[in-house]
Amino acid sequence: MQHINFFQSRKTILFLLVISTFILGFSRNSNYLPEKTGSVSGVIKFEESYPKSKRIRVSKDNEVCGNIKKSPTFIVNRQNKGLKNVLVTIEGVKDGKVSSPQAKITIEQIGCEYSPHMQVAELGDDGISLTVLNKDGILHNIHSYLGKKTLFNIAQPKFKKRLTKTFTEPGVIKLKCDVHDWMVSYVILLKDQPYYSVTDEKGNFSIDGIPPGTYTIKAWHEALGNMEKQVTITEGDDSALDFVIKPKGR
Amino acid sequence: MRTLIFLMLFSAAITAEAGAADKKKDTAYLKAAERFLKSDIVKQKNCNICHTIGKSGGTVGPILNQVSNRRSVEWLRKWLKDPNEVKPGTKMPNFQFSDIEIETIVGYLKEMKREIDGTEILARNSNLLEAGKDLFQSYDCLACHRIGKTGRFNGPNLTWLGIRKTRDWETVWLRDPDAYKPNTFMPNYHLEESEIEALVTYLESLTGGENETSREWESITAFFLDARPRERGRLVSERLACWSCHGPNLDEGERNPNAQPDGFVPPINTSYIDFEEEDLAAIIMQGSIPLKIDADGQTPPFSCPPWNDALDESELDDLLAFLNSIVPESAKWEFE
Ligand code: HEC
Ligand code: HEC
Ligand code: HEC
Repeated sequence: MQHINFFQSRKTILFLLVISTFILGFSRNSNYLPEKTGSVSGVIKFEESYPKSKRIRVSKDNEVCGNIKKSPTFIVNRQNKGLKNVLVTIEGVKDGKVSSPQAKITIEQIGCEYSPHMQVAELGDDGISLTVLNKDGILHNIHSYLGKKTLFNIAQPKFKKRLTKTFTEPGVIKLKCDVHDWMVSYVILLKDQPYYSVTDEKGNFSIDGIPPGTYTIKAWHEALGNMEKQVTITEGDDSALDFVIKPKGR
Repeated sequence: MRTLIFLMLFSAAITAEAGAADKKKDTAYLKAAERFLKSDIVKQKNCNICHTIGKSGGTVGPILNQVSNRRSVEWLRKWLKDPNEVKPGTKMPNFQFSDIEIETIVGYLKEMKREIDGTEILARNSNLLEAGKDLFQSYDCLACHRIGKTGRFNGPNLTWLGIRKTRDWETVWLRDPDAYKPNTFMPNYHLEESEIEALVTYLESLTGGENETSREWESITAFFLDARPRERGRLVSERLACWSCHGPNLDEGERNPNAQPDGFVPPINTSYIDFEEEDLAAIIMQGSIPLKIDADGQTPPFSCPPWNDALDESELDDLLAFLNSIVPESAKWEFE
């Protein structure tokens, strides 16, 4: 028995070696020349007025959660009105960088908030595992949605410090706690998409290593949805491009 | 027409008197609830953060005390195994219980059950209305529903049910909710026809508590007069059951085949910024019939009824204030 197994696994290893050299050979894009690329950067900001982040009164588990929470939806910088947590992607880049998928990501529940509020990861063929940590020592539930559809909704009782779930499909996944309904987090899984950036505290983004050409640049925010623009990238240059947000209906 | 507002007020009688005969049984179920609360299950899984068990607990889910009077053991097993399988999208999470844990929970839930003798209840009350009220209370319909300010949010607010539904409709509904609306979460109580008759008599009397004179009702009246317009407007929308077409949170309409633009009743939680205020007022007062997607296809089953007969000017203002208050912050901004 052992002998056969050994023989079989040797064959498997050989097979895998052959296959992986093939894949590597193809995936390391031979046409991609980092020195012959350009970049794009800019700010995503409110035009004039901007929303004050809503305060939420906590009505249960106050010892752990505190009494007042701030909604994490609009985190706006007071000086330049830049908006945090906007995902920016360049669509349809050919002969560019190659995606480097992650195997796992983590999210924490601490003080009845999710940390981070938003994260982006590159998804490979084997899926990605999400580890959810409960640092609060009280019951939370993790209700995950893809659009309006529930993917799963599992309880994480107080003694259960960690649980793990695997995702195999790309998309915007929303996590919500039904016990503490202000707790919301977004996990965005990208497939074959290395060209992305998430705006920082000042609403800044930047993406580099883009082969020259004209592309669609897309901004996504949890509350504002999508916005697309065109951007032209030239070799060795940084193209500047901003997105502006205004009150609806004006 | 402030009287209409009073119409919307609450019937408090529900909670007021539990028949003296019930007293003894009451404590028995509370003792069982106490045992459940002290069990490892509740201590570790905190069911009571969402559910009321015994006298207190959360308000996210139904009151659990009498759940065995409305759900079979098989149903409870299926529910505890995977709630999302029974009701897709429910807030109740999957606890990944073992079969033994499930049997333990079902056992506790059974212990809290109060036996209900419909014949006895009908006999001990002098008329159908009283009997209906008694049955309503015994079956613990307020575990999910609300009348006035008592009850929960897991079913429609019944405060004004008598205004918007008929005896016949209510009878058909109570006989077998699932036959009327497949996969509804409203349980089938397998009631006797005589029980249904009494319950329906009581349900038809629910028109907002106009005739109630209890202390509780007076304090609610006082609250209501002090309430802000948007709070009064919320009650108006509940009285008129806007949710029945526009969804429990007014943000997700029912299916409406062949209605433009997408075959659904539109959400109205953003209507206040989607329309000018006058136009919005006109739609509400005069109603609106959806256009068809396929001109030769069926007429969409739902249109927005004209509400001018049901609303006076000040109530319309309250309703608009309410619609304004529910616009999510996220809907107020857009990319240029
Ligand atoms: C995050 C909140 C939450 C927690 C925690 C929770 N439930 Fe629930 N539960 C609900 C909701 C909400 C419903 C009603 C279903 C709906 O409306 O989607 C429900 C329904 C039920 C029902 C069916 C009630 C009926 O009348 O049909 C039972 C039984 C139940 N839960 C038992 C439990 C037990 C036992 C626990 C603890 C192990 C628990 N629940 C924990 C939210 C919760
Ligand atoms: C487990 C929760 C639950 C309990 C307990 C419950 N209901 Fe319901 N009920 C519902 C839900 C949910 C609906 C909405 C049905 C739907 O649209 O699918 C409903 C709908 C109704 C309606 C129709 C309301 C309307 O305006 O359309 C009536 C009447 C009603 N229930 C009466 C009762 C009575 C009487 C009892 C007690 C004998 C009861 N319910 C117990 C959940 C419940
Ligand atoms: C019988 C089902 C039904 C009920 C009950 C109902 N509506 Fe409607 N409502 C509709 C339909 C269908 C439409 C779409 C009409 C159209 O497309 O012209 C609609 C449209 C609307 C609109 C316009 C929304 C838009 O974006 O086009 C508003 C505002 C509105 N309803 C408010 C209300 C209010 C307020 C109530 C409660 C007082 C209510 N509705 C009750 C079915 C209903």
